[in-house]
Amino acid sequence: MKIFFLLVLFSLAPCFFTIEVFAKEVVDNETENLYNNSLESLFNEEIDAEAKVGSRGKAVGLLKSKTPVDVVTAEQIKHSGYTELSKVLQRFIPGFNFPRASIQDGTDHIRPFTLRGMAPDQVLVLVNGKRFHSSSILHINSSIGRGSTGVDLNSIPLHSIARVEVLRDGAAAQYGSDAIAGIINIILKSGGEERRLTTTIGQTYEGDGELYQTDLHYGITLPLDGFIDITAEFRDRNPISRAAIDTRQQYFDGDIRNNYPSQINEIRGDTDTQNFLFALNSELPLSNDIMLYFYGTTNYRESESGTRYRRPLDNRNVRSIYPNGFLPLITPKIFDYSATMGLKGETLTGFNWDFSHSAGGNHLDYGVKNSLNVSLGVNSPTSFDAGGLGTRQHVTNLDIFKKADWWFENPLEIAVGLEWRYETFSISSGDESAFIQGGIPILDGPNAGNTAMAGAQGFPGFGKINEIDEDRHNFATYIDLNTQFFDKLSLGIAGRYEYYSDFGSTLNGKFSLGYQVVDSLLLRGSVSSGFRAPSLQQSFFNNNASLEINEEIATVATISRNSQFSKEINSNPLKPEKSQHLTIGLVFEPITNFSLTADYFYTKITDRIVLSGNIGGFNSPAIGDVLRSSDIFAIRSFLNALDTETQGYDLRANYKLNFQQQGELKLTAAYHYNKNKAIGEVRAPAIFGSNGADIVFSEKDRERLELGQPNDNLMLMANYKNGNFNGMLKLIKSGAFSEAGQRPNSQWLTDIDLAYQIHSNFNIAIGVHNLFDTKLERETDDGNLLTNAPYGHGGGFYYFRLTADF
Amino acid sequence: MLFFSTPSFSVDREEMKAVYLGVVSKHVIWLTNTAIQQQESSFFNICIFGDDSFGGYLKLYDNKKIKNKPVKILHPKEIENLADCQLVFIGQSKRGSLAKIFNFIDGKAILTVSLIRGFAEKKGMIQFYENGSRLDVKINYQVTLNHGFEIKSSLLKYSKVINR
Repeated sequence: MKIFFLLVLFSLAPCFFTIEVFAKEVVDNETENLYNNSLESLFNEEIDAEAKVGSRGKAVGLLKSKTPVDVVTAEQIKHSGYTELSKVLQRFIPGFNFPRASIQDGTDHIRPFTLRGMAPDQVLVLVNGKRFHSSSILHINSSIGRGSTGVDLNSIPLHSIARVEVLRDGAAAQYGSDAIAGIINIILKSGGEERRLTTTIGQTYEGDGELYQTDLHYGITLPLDGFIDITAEFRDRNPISRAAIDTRQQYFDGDIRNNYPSQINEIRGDTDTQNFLFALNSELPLSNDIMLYFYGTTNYRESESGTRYRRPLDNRNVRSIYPNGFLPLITPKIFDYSATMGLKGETLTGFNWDFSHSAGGNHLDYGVKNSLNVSLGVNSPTSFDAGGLGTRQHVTNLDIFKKADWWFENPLEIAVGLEWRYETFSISSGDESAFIQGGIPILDGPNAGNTAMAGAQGFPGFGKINEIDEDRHNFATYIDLNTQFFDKLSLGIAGRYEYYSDFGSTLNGKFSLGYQVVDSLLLRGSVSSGFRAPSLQQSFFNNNASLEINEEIATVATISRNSQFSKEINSNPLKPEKSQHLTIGLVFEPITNFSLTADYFYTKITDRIVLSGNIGGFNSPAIGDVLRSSDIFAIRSFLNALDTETQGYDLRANYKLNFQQQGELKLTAAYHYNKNKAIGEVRAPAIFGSNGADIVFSEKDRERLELGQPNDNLMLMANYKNGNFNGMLKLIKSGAFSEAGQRPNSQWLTDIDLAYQIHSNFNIAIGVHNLFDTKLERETDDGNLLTNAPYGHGGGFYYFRLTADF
Repeated sequence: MLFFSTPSFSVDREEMKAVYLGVVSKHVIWLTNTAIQQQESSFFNICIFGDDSFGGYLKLYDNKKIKNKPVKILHPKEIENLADCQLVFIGQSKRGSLAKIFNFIDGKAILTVSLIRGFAEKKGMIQFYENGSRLDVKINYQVTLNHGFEIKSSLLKYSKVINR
């Protein structure tokens, strides 16, 4: 085997040499061409993108990085035509998934995203390199990301963003918890030179989902290259519904109204949402060496989504209030905020330092309207305050970086840092009428006199018994060293220690390596360990839901660490998820206008946290005994129950053709493949009984984890620019996904954006998303509801955009 | 062949900075053209004072001429050695010595260029700075004028000009 390897290496050596010589000549020629270019042409040249994420030291060029990083620029964001960051990233980053949840309660309003088919909370999000807070919602329904939290990327105004860096590698050993599938680092616009108004209007082919978006970015330059960049945005999106006609029997037997034509009764698709967003990024030089900086974002969102329709004959209806049935609507109000202030500078001896404090939070207040509490009878209110969820986060960071020249011929880059973090999670109760059992039975119909369901229909919310206000803190310190040997070999080694007040300490490490075989070929790889701290939501979320089971009303409780049952079933406290990572890849630039990257990745996660299925006396006699003294029929709990492995690869090729007077064409092809798999035994507490493993991690859960998200994505992009014209064409093959035993085929999606500079200050654009109107078939009300389609429910969407610079 | 003879997708930032040095020089007129002539050097000396952030791309100037003089790249260690330069690029590591440098070149026809933040406002002449995905130029017009330079309108057109 070794001999074979050596033979291959020797046989390839002349190829590398040829490539080396060829590439060198092209580079020399290209530099010469640049030098002889016209000023206009030269000043329009783009410089290589750099990313600050991946190493705690200085920014690194994407094609020189030891770990794979993608960058989405402000230009790409603009010409994508999308107005939400999650949708933009889904179109540019293969392996980024943003399914459009529908009828999933709060998940419809703060929709989770994932990387590499992993969980939403296994991605770390940074803004300007600092940790961003997670949203307050815990996804507990059947959507992708069930049992996890995540960051609400759509809370950041799109036009405040200069670029988004996506690190496709485990990096918890450098950045701490959550950086398992990767890191998304959002860099806000800076410099204070851009003043731009952007307005987008659009709608679906079917005439709904009308979008009105206006964004104002206003930059102010300050002395000594200081700046203030302000972005304010209003975004109004009307709902999209692709629900089918409800053909079920609506009224009691014998009612003549059953002969009326059937109609659409539900809303299945995107929510009706209004967003007010704001971002500010500023830097003020205090002296030659010290900079004061401040940045922050806010988002206020009002939203409305449907739940399942309550037919007139439904036991969950009070027919004197809704004689023709009703569709409860969930109407949350969401406030998300973040602010960071800090000082940074460089000493004359070359120490870069950065001291900052960040505060952020997310509050979700549930409202329910067009509803009722059946157990309150005819006097039930029809709208409710259903309580809310809240998270807060405070982070203090000190980062120091030094390029030490006393290390052989190349400097040793040393980054060290300290971090202190404080997090809270709270549940507040709503109106008593939203969750109580009022005691009034079902009033009429065949089940008259039976116990009526408690709580507001659609979303019963949180009662006094659910109220909590929990917190924890953690302290971390890290070191990250990078250097080069012989100008060919670059090495990085990093370690991070963390102490969490709830579960103790972790220590993780990372080793990365880059070998420049020839100028045009870089081999790279990394191995690392990582972790994800259980979120406070997973530890402390609790609620009681009233369900109808076999025409009997039963209470199912999600239990928290504080629950009386928690110790009895040995489910909590939760431990951190632990991960191991391997990434191997290459960067190949045989000619100066072409680059190819290929990276294989492997991630193993142990003690993965899952939300169990419902367990009670009906499937575990021992649990039945535990619950006997309470009025709870079944419980569900978070458990460290599972080990998983994820492997796959990413391929990306970029190519540019310059037609001189006829413009330029940039071509990109990107492919992502992943395979997620549960491995080993599912660990269920003994008290769950012999079927414990199936209860903790059901076949449905397995389907969601292993097949619920596309295993592959292919993106083909072309961007043609010529004078005042800019056209972008994207072809995306969205891989197949499985849900509820169904597996819709992979689909091709086509996006087009055509923009023209009609005046030095004005640019207009028209565009289409999903040109060929790809979508799932309209679902039937008695069929399975597919909500995890990566391309949503709306189908084709066209828009007009006006951009004014002033 | 079309593919291989065209400029790259995006340019290495060190390469771009190196190119900018010469291009900027081509668009600056030493009003006291005599200043160059008077100096004994028969070369157009580009001096890199402090850290060299050009990644080897200054070899572009091998066998090149600017202002009809062969270009020579120098790396002076002391401020006093800057007297021989027609253009001095001041590296980040020398930002603490800006006042001394400006004091030394006062009255001399030496074009100062840097990437140091706020350089143009601190009485530097030409500052390169990254603006999104492009490298832009900021010129302190008054300072260049005071030192006997005229910036060609073609360069001013594509630059951010302060103190005009």
